[in-house]
Amino acid sequence: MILQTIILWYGILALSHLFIQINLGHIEFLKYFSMITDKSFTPSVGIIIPMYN
Amino acid sequence: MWECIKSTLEQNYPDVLVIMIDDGSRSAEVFDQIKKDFEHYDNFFPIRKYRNEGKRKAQKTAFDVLDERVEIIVTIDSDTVLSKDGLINIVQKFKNPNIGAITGNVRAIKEENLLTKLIDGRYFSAFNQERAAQSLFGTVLCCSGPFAAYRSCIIREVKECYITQRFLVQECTYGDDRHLTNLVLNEGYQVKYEIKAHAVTRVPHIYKEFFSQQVRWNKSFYRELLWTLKFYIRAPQNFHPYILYDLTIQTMLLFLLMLVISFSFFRGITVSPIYLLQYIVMVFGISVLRASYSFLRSRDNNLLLFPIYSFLHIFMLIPARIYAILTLKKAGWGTR
Repeated sequence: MILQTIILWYGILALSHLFIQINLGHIEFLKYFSMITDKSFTPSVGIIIPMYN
Repeated sequence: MWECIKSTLEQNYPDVLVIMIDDGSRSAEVFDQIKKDFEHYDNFFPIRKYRNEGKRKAQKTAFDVLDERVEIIVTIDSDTVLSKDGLINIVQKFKNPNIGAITGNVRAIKEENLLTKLIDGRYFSAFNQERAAQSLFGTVLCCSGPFAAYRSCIIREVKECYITQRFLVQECTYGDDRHLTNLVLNEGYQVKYEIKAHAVTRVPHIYKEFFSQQVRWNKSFYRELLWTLKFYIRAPQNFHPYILYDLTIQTMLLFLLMLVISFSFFRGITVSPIYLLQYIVMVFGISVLRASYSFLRSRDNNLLLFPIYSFLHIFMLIPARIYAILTLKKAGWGTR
């Protein structure tokens, strides 16, 4: 009985969190269709590549 | 390594300096060869440290050189390859002065190996579901190590805290990306995800290496969870409520998961294997849902393999998670 309850709660929480994430993530994804890359916006950039071999 | 440097130097971007910093490798052979091969680029600066002090201190050396000279600092891993438009796309959101850091869209370099394909599926959902959701509120909790961009004025403010982070007296080595992101959030800036800033990175192709990586990632997740909660309590105005929601759910899921596993294994062994099967079916079902969305979004057939990841989750990631919690204080990378 305890196991069933815990599994049920875990399932509900995990699925609802996944559902929220996918929906919010999808809203963010849809926003990209309206975005245009402004090629004139080019602040100075420095790239750091740490290496160890 | 060569591919990585080449991809940074051949960007469709006009104003970029590239610093490669050798963190005291035992042999200078590779460093010397790279220096020679790329000497014709006047924006490439190789630096060699003679002592191995870890990734954070290596980055700090480069921060000191760059943070007064450039507006944006991009950190990448040496096994990452940027797409040609990676830089122009990752800087776009910095037009908004409230944004302090941006993470790129990283996928795995897929080899003819099932593990790399499964990890690629995990990367897809980690970026396009988890980080994308956080990005909607400007609360991405981890700017990925393989490709991230930060405002240099923030780096100037936080770099000392970044290299001196300690947890239970121990100096922190791994989890650098997560901590740097947290420091940016703590300064009151937003952190976003840029879907158009593509990069690919090498991922573990053997299970042992994957296990070590997951232990490190889990340790940094739990350590940073405590750090974020501490700073959230001190200055809640600096954080969006979605962070609190996200962290609360993740913490609750962790505890419930531990209970589910303990009870399932106990009942599965002592009463009937059906109890164990219940748990496996549930994890598999969640993976099917993730895979379905990923496939519908990307039409990438490889992502349909993702439900197999649920078995990795049960037999490798859960043990890695438990091991990470038990050895949270240990600071080694497990690879050197």
